[in-house]
Order: sequence, then C-alpha cells, then structure tokens
Amino acid sequence: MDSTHLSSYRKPFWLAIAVLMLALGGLYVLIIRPYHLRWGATDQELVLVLPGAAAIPADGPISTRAITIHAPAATVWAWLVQTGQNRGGGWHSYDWLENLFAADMREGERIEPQWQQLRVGDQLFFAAGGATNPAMAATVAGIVPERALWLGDGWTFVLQPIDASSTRLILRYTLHPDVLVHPLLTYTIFEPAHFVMESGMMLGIKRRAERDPLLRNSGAGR
Amino acid sequence: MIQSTHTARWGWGRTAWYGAEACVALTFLYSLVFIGYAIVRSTLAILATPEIDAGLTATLIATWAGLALPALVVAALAAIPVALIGALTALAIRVLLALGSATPTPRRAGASGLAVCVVVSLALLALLTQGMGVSWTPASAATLTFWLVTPLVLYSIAGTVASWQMAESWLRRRTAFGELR
Repeated sequence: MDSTHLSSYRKPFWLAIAVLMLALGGLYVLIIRPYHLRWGATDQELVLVLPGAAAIPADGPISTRAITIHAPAATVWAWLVQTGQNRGGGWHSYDWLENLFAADMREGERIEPQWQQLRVGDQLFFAAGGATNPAMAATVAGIVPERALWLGDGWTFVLQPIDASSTRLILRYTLHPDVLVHPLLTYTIFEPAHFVMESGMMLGIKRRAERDPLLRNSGAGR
Repeated sequence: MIQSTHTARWGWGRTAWYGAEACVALTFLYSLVFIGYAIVRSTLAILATPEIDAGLTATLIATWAGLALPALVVAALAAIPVALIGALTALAIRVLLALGSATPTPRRAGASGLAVCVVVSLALLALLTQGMGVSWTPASAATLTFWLVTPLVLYSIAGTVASWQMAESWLRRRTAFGELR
C-alpha cells in the first residue's frame, strides 16, 4: 500500500463521513427525535398528568415513553425500586455501555429483598461516583407504592395496572438544556443517548419481570 | 545529491497535514467500529425482548440512530485535539528522521514512528495517572480500555505504518529524481 494508493481513498472517506453525519442529523431532527420523545406512548399518555411533574419547571423538551409489561404491577415495582448503581440492580439497561463511562454497573438478575425498601430522600446512583458527585445521583422525591416513583431531577416512573397480570410502565423526563456544557451538545449527545438508555431500561425491566412465571403470577414485592 | 534528497522529502506543512488527517480519520474509524459493536449488542438485547408495543423495527432503528449520532458528534469534537496531536507527532517523526541519514529506510522510519508514538503515549499515561489520579481498577478497566488504551495502541500502530509509508514515498521520489537526472 503506497501513499498514492492511500490518497485515492481520502476523498471518498471524508465524503462518506460528511454524508453520513448530514443524513443522520437530518433524519434525526425530522423523524427519529419526535419518535424518541414519545416512544411507545399513546396520545392519552402524552397529556397524562403524572405525579411529581408539577414540581419540576419544564425548561426543556419533555419525553413520555411507555411499554406494556405482562406482569403484575407488584412485580414491575419490585424491579423498579432496586434501580440504581448503589442498589444492586443497576439501571436494567445496557451495562456494557454504561461501563464505558466509569459507571461500574453490575446488572442484577433477580429481585433482592434488601433493596425492596425505598424512601423519599434516598439516592439512586447513575454511576460509581454518585456518593461524592451530585451529578452522578438522583434523589427520590416521592413514592406511591406500586404506582409511582419520581426523582428530584424531573424523572417520573408510573405503573398503571391494565389487569391482574399486565402493567403499563410510563416514564416522563424533563430534559434540562444545560445538562451538558452547551445546549447543542445536550441535544446531539445527551438527548439521543438518554433515549437509548431509558428505552433500554424499560425493555430490561420488561424482560426481567416477564421472565419468571412464578414472580409474574405471585407478585415479587409482596 | 543533497538537492534531490530535499526535493524527495515532504515539506513540513504537508507532513503536519498528513499526520493531522490520519489521526482524525482514525478517530472517525474508531467511532464507526464502536457504533457497529454497540448496534450489534443493543440489537441482541432488543431481539430478546418479546412484544415491544412501540414496534420492533422502529425501536431498532431509533436505538441505532441514538447510538450513532452521539458517537459521531463526540468524534467530530475530538477531531480538534486529535488533529493537533497527529500534526505534532508527524512533525516529531520528521525531525527524528532528518537527524539520521539523508533518506531513511522504511524499516528505520517505522521504528522512529513507533518510538515517537510510544513516548507520547507514555507521557499521556503519566499525566493521567500521576497528575490527575486516574488509576486502573476493575471498575475503571472498561472505561480506560475504551477511551485510552485502545486509542493509544491504534495511534502507535498508525504512527509506525504512516512513517514507513512516508519513507517509502521519499525513496520512490528520490529514485524518480535520480532517474530523471
């Protein structure tokens, strides 16, 4: 491979990168981002008044995402309350991805009794440094057992029983444009990444809650 | 003889540009490889989830885009410091080669490139470990491997290969000049 041979790849390479970024950016703004902001949610769920939402001033876009889980609300709740890097369950999302950012996440694969008690004021760590870095933790701002949990940074988790064996899990998040250094970075890095991790969390809770027929029928939180 | 050697070698500006461009291209390639890896792993997890009411195909595409966009933006942001490191590395290799024989062999040029890249890598590691307190622990292993060790290994390999090619290019041009004269 000589330098002239190599240089013949230069223009097509940079052209491909530019086209990829422009196409992805355009698709994201026009089609993908609107889908991200309401992934799985019905029109009714988008306007649903959720607990905790009023306490957070909406200074940025709000996402509402939902998923149906074929398990009782008590089982879904049991997985939800052991969320957090410091609570044995991780965030039920893509731990291999979180660990590329020093999260030190170990996903729990079973419900642990010691993590079933969650109180207002408790901290849920996003990463291992949550104890010393406030940006790496969220504080529980409110709880309605087996129905709702909301965090101080504008993140609400709601469970709506559909019937005895199915539950609707609804998550609402208020994005703060200054969460990264500049709003442009927040919208191009944090917001799409947040979709990946949050939808991954919802899918992770669904997989775990639906996996064990015994838990599904009995309700693990009881 | 001296005149032909000078003509055969790349100028300082071209050398710096080549180093900068090679490092930025590597950064984007690395981000593309990461995107591919992340797409495969996230797809496997999504496919393992039954009955996604938001739609399987739409969820997959939305997740792929959600992974790709931040990775490419981070690569674009990293391009500025990476270009600087690439340019400085190429100039350092050029200086090292200029100290020796008039036209270095590709083997010697490759060794010089590797030496410069290893020294820069070790300096960076020393700065992070001694100056900023970064340490290798089981908790930080994945993070450091992804953000530091793999990029530095790629950087060192690229520095070696690029130096080798630079010397080959000089040799060819020198031969061509010699034949013309």
